Amino acid sequence: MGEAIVITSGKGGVGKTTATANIGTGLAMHGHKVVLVDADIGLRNLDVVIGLENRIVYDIVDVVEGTCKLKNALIKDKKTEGLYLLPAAQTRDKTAVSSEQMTTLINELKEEFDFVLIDCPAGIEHGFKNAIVAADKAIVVTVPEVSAVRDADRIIGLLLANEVSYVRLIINRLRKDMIDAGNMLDIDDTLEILSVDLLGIVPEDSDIIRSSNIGEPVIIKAESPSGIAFRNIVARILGENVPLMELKKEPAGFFASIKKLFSRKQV
Amino acid sequence: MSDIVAFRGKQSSLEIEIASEADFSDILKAISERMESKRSFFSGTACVKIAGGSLAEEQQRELEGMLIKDYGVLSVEFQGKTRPQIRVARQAQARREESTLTSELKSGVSSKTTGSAVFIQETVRNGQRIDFDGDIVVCGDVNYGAELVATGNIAVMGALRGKAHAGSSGDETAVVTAYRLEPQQLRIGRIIAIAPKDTQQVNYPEIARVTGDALVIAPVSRVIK
Repeated sequence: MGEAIVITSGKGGVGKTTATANIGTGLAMHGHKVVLVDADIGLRNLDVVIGLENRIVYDIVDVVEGTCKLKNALIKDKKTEGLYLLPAAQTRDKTAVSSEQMTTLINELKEEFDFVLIDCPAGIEHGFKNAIVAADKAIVVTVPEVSAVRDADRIIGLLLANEVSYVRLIINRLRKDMIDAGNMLDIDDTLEILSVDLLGIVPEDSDIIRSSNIGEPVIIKAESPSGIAFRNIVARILGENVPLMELKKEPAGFFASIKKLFSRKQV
Repeated sequence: MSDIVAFRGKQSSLEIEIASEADFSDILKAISERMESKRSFFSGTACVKIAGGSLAEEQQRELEGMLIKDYGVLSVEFQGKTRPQIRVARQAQARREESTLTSELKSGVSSKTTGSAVFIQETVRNGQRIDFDGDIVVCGDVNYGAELVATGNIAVMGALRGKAHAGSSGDETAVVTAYRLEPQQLRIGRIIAIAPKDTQQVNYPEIARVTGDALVIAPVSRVIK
């Protein structure tokens, strides 16, 4: 019996889908059998990020409506052994699946897979409720911005009220330079407000956009900073004790270090 | 009868487990029989937790009303999907009759005792609202976007970052205190104050009250000597 983890955020565009794709790929790379469930019916993206877009024949709505069997709708990733996708329907909306249907579906998937990762849509309406209804655990993704942190707070409240008591936080798209300049919420501020345990920090990284566009999760890339961050997150999910990674600024050149010397004098 | 409900005494609460298939009228009868047999013992029980059973909203209300009104239980909690804080407002109504008294404390601050308070032992998050006829004590933070509305006083043992409205039925002797008083908006009675743009964060508990026509914030240490 596997476990169902919902990846959610409240606010859109903070990296739920990217996190789902990377964590799922990472868990599969560790030899686990993983299925990614795209609960964002009508605005599906997970298939694109993971590069399986062209292979969709049946989707989640076909499964709950009985058009096809569950195993026919699952797409096996050829790049990563043990990784499967249950895509969302693009031509329908969130109301096409009920909470009861979702619960049955997730429980059925848990029989067969070690991890069922549910990519939650933005918002707190029907789609969100469906995504969390059968989840055992939740990973809340946020970015160090006031609006995203407030939405995350709202989401955590809703998760706890719906008896998803295991909640962990990922702070995504962190920019060390902006935090140092005082223009971004820092990690301690965010954790103090949200009062949940931190699962990991992912630095802002242009590799993410590139890898999403080519449909290859960044976690596969050995040297990419966000890839390393996601590998650490996966290790922590699997119970390893990995320290938070040191966030580096861009390598400072000769002129930059001189400038720094001068600016330090002024303080 | 004993198969329908099981009573279990916990440290400061009483747990009643209901058999899931039992009929509601039988449940009521079984509970009241047990309570009746030791009426003085159960009276004043701080919290009765109801577990098991599949009671509808109205049934929960009826059972709660019976325990509070007839047997002097202070609060009733239903375990399962509904969390205690959602039920707070309703609890308050059942205990509305309690007398209100005003006492003068040594410091000269008049404090109103409404006889009932609710104790919230968790962080109140964005989008959550606690509405209570009496005092509210939060052991945790009150985050941005959360709202506390009390006819009495509000005390937050943590950071108050959301909105707080004390003395909501017009009582301007009510106060708001917090370990970190950083609210978005503060209301006492009919007076509303909005946090100034550049407030300095302070590291001590503060108290807000109405003086004249203004809402005044001061360190708690200055008021309580």
